[in-house]
Amino acid sequence: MAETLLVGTIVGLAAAFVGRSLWPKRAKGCGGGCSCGKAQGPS
Amino acid sequence: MTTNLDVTESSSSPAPEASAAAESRRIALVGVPNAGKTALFNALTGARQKVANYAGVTVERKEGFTTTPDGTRISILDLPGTYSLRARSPDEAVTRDAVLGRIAGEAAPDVIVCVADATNLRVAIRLALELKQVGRPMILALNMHDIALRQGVDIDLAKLSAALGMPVIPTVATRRRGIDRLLETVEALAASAHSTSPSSWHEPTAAEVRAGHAAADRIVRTATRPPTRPDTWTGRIDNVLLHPVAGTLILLLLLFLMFQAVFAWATPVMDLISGGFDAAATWVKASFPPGMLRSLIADGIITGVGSVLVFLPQIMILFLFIILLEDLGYMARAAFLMDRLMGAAGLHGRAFIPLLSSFACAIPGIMAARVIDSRRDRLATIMVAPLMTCSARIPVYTLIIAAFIPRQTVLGGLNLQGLVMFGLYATGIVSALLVAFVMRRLLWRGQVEPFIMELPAYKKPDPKNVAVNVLLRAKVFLQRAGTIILAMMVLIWFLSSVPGAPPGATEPAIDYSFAGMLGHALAPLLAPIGFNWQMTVALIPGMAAREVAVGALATVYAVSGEGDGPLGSLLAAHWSLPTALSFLAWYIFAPQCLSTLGVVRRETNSIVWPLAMFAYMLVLAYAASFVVFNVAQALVG
Repeated sequence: MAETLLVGTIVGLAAAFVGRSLWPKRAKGCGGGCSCGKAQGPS
Repeated sequence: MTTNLDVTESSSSPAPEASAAAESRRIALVGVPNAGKTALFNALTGARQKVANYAGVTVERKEGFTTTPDGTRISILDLPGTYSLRARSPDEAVTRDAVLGRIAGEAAPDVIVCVADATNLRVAIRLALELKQVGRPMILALNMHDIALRQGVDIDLAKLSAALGMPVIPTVATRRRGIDRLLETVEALAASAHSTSPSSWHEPTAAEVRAGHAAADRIVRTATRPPTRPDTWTGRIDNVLLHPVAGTLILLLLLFLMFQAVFAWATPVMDLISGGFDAAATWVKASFPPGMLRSLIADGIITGVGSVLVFLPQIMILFLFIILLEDLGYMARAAFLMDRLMGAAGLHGRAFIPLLSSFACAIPGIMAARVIDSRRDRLATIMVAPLMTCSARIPVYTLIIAAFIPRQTVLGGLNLQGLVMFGLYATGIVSALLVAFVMRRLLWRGQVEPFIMELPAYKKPDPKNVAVNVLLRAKVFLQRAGTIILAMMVLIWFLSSVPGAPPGATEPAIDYSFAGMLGHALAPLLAPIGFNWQMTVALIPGMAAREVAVGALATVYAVSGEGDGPLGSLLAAHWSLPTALSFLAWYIFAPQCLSTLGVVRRETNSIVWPLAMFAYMLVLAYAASFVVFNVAQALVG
């Protein structure tokens, strides 16, 4: 039971994080999951 | 002096910290492109914004903070480079509006620091004369003063200061020389309120522009003597590197060597990382009792995240090359060489920088398209930017190449794997040019506007800048692995494990899971291009971040218990060569990144363009995979 609860909590947190990352507001600039690091020029 | 790394990036909203501090000063760094504004900004604030030896690196306003020894907080604005306040492109408009105090909620800066390249004073002086009309106290920061001294350029600082009517401070931003004096002068100027006057700036007429150039010429003649040791090397090297044939061959050779190195040098470190994660997964399996938690940690987190992290050395090697070439001043030459080709495809010469940026990630590339003034040229660049091979594709490419392409040398010593990687990058570039060509023919017929670009002098790469930038790339990759990729792996593990197999089930448990159901439901759509249901499952989380597909494949195969060992070996056992090639073709074209579409929507201020981008890339991906799969099957049998 405790194991299921722990795993459920981890999965819930992960889902909340992914949801927050993909929310349109987060796609602005570089917070939404791109690999650029900085919202500016090359590499 | 204390510094603050808190750098805000915005084009309209004020920084809350700045407005909170009543005694704070605001200074704006303004200058022609590639004068070293961002290097000076980094030196002043301790920030680590991207700098490179070519124009157009900064496309939006950035703000950082520093505190002088007497406790005054100074807010510093780093603005995109411009030759004049007559803004012709969106990035130049940001500079004009910031300098004139036209950005909502922001006052005009207390002091303007005009950053000049000491080896190329004329354009900077013309800009400084125009900036004087704004009526704010001004300083001329004579940056790269060390290079000017080495070349024997004799600048009479007192005469220059008198002619311009402003203090002139020599600086070497990359070595932090002259920074304290600059800040002292800023403080002294800002404290003397009488040095501010109402702005008399207006859009200059052609005659006024000519008069400005003449005045700048006079000041240069009065205050400087030409170099006693002019930089002849740049000209001599350019004779070769800018040659239409030799130069292009050298560019291809450099790119080719880069991909050879990515495969040749990275393998030992990759094996080490991979071995570490395998050992960790084995330890967890041996130490934890069987159950959901053990499976989550071993199959989901360690296997999934580890399979992506293993590509860190390759990403660092690739960016080491790119950053070295940028610092050297070679990338601007590459832009020059590519201009004819890009012009033939209907792309503006300035599109080179956005497209080059897209090798890191399409998002900064799309934002860098702000340097293009014509809207249709800008749209064409934005629409093809995601076809350039971003770093998130590297884990996918290298995984498949390592698994399916033999490690052998061909054509007299060429690494076949590196050759295939080179081919994938080349296909991305050629596709971008072709799509741009078709778009221009169909949507925006007409001449491409001419392109003028100043070629920077060659410089010895600054080891600190190179190291900082490569480490920054590594940090970004690790951050992604520790956040979005980790979270996605947990979700994929959950979807691949729940619900469990019913009593008396005959198939592997994953077939009964949510991921299994979804994969089997969508598989018929992707069967014609050779994808199995596990690949279908991996493509869905790949929409959040392309490289998640690698981790997703690792987790799906780990949960299904279809053999142990490295992911590459598992794929080699379960996929045919045509399927693997089809997957590579898919990844060249597929619109596998929601963040990119979000940024296209923001930059174009329209939902039409991201939808059009998604549609054309999806069609291209499906068509390319279909052709590759069927041709490969016909050939392989």
